Amino acid sequence: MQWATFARSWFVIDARMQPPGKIATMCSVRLQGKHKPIYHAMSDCGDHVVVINTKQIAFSGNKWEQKVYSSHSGYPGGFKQVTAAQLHHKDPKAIVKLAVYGMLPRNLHRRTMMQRLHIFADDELPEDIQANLTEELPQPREIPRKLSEYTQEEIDAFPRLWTPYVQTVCCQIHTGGSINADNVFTHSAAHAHVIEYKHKHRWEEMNAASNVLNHFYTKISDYIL
Amino acid sequence: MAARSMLRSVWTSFAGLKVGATCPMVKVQQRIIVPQLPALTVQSRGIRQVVEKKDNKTTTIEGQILDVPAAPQPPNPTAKCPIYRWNLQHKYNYTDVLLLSQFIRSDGGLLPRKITGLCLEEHRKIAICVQMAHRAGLLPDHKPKLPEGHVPKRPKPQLNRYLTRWSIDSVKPIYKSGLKWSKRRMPVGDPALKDNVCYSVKPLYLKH
Repeated sequence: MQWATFARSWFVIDARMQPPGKIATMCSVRLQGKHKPIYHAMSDCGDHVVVINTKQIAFSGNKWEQKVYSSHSGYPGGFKQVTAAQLHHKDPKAIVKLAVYGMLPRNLHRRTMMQRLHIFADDELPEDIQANLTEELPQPREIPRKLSEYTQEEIDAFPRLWTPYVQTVCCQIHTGGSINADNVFTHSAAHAHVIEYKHKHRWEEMNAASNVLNHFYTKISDYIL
Repeated sequence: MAARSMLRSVWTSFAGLKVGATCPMVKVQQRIIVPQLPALTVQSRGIRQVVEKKDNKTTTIEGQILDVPAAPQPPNPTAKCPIYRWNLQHKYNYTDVLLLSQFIRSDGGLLPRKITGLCLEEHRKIAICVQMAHRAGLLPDHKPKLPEGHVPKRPKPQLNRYLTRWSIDSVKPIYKSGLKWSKRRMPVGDPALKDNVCYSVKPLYLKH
């Protein structure tokens, strides 16, 4: 039983659509062994961590363009500043590696802990590492669903918040000069939802009924394809 | 859409009218503006079926309202803005795509405020959320139509992102980020959504 307490376990973390900082905190905690009650800095109690899918890492905000990784080769004129997007294109593993490196304690154990961290840009793992894996850690960030991933029933179950109202060009039928909606519709106007309105605008009169029908339009039709 | 089918019913109702002995003149008198009915009376305009009945001398043209299952009533009907009607004021985010998709066109743009009926602040918040959702790739079917045969010059880098406030090409890298007491922070999210309901203990950080 006590052998299992001191065993070095292998964790796997899927970094798909996750912020690299949160992945790195989880990695550093487990590499140091701080998740164990038997932790001590001197006792080598860190575990192995395998990070997969680092190619699909997601930064919040505009960090892909704003975050800058700087390095100096030591030679004069050797100061390089690279944005996160450029660095990721050059090496997909580098962002996670640098993040974890910066979160580990600044002592000589850091290098050994980095040797226990295994980063893979995609899903494929070599067989010997896959054989060693013990636990998969849950992802820190909830991945939001795309609109295409919702089923049609869920889309229909969501209530419509607003209904469009329609401006119609209507023809008024005269019977001896008196405008009376009841001559045309036997039922009350409420059913037909035609409300007589005071003259607000002047419009040119259209003579033929066909012209009237052609001028039917709604504002909505421009927007709905 | 309901508007289209309702239009069609109005069209057919007018097409069926017989301009004969009873009504000599057909004139366009005025534009009848159908106002947005107060929600207390009727929530939505029903789809009507035109029915023509003929007696000996009288012709009855009637629009009978079809039995369409009623839309659920909003919890706060006496409000002007649809979001206030459904009590969603500070509760939505860029991830609520089902809500945001009701206010966008098919090519991703927002519908005008006069049509949706939103109040100004909510319209702006929804605009911001829709922008963030587009940049996060949550609305894949609402992309603008590219002209046919359009080949992009260089392949665009497919980078995952979320809560992006600024547009991708407009942002410059922070070469000198400063020391701990005066860092140039990277903005995340948007201050317009600062009043959103926060269910976690940690507050919403807008500067990373």
